[in-house]
Amino acid sequence: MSLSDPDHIAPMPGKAQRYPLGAAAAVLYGTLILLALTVPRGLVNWSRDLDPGMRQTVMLDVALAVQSAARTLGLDRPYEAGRDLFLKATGKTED
Amino acid sequence: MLFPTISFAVFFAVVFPLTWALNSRNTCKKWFLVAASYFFYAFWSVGYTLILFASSVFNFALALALDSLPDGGARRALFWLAVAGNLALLGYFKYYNFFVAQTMNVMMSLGLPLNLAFIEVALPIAISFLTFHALSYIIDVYHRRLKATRSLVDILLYISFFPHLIAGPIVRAKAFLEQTVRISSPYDVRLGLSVFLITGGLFKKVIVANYLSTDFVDGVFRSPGDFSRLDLLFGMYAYAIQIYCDFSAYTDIAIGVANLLGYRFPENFNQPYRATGVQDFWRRWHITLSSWLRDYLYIPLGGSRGGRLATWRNILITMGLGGLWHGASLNFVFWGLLHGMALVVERMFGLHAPAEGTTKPQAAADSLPRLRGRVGEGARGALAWFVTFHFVCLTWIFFRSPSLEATQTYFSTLAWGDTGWSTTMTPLVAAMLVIGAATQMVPNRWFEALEAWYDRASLPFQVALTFAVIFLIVVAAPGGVPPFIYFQF
Repeated sequence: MSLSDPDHIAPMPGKAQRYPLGAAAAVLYGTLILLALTVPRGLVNWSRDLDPGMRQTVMLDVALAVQSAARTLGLDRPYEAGRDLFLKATGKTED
Repeated sequence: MLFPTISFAVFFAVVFPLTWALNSRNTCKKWFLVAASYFFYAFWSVGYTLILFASSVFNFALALALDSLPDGGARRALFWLAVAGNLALLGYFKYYNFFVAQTMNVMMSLGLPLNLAFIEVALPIAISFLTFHALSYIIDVYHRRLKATRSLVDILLYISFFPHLIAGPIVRAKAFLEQTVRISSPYDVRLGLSVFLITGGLFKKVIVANYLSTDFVDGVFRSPGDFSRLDLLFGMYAYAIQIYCDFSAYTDIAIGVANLLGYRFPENFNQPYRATGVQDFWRRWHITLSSWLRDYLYIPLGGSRGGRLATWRNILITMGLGGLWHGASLNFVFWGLLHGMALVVERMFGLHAPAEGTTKPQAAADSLPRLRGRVGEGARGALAWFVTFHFVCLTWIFFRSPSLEATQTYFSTLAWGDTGWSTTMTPLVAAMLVIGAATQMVPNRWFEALEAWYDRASLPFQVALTFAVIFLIVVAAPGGVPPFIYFQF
């Protein structure tokens, strides 16, 4: 589909959800929570890169707590295993 | 703050609910989105938010004045003042040093050495897109296609709205302002479409564009003389895929993010490497820029109304300036002019698509009179595609090379180099090339079917699928995400 007249935006395809905002919020926050639990080191690294200060201290504490819980429950194992597999398959190393 | 980062995810996780919580109080919502957009922009430079604000107020005030004045000399003068003001901002930050250098080079070649001062100022990110949006508003108000808004917040939001602020798509003032005057409906949110645009964009940028860039393209273009001819050939193809995956990723994510906030942006890419003519290519590549150039530059120059020579001149001016817009470098000017020349050649030989707005891939091929009747329909289409694709790829060498000298080295090594036919391309790069090429081949209806299927699925499945796709992207992601290519423009 191309847009020959940019003043007019063609209706977006797809089907409207019954509760679009609730579904969008569930997908957004559900995905973020699952990612935080399964890839906790991403959150820890991100917190370490924040500007030093109160905000960073709090974020880092939260991230480390999430990481600790995820490790205890083994939630980060699929990521670690998948990452190792990818690095081996491609011959790459962690930066 | 780049889209594929945790910072943006956190930012959006805050902006999304607050935007919808304020939805019934539209003015409050718009002020909130302006504040969020300025915060987003301030991640690059706090100081340059003043430019954003000043430009918005300048255009808001002049548009109001233009709207109130009767047609005549004063109105025309005010219009040109507004255009000059916007172009002066762009010219000062983006082109001043370029024109100083070119002037000194010309004077030196004439034996009249001239010493002009360069300015040391960082290019404000997004300044080109900011100018396009502002000019769209001013020109439409001047031509009375659009009534000037009396709401400052609407203009502040139009120019600064964070999804399109940095690298488009270029949203026309009329199309955006129509959306700001009404309360957004939650039913405007197309979850399946937004999720596919965002996850697809993340995949194209984080995986395909990044690995092509870091593992192959950057090296090949840094020192083309050190690589084999096969590497240079693959490097050219790889850059074509990289820039598509990089730029279309940005605008896909922008469209998806805007839609989650209840706003609709126009499409910016439509499988451009399927084009069977250069005109067809520009109806598929950066659609919002090419239609902007058509409506605000080519048509005001006279378009195709003044005879053949005037049409060719207008095409070359439009494409030359379109090239220069991409960067203050002769490489971009040559790139734009080459495309302009190709468009002129298509017109000379009647190869261009016959009607405005026609986007059928066969349009250009159908008008190949010499070939008609000699070869089959499929062969004609394939030939038109092959020529167009390789023309576009070859001109990308101008676009990617850091200088004309580097471009020359690339072309000469590719054509006559004695560097052999081995390749340093890794299996990962080859896989990225194949995946990138596949993005051009999958029919649009497949995406639409996937989207409809996603929308019909249960909520837990929607969450699980979205998570699984992003999880796999994170597993295979490189350590860091470089900026999008179009940020520099």
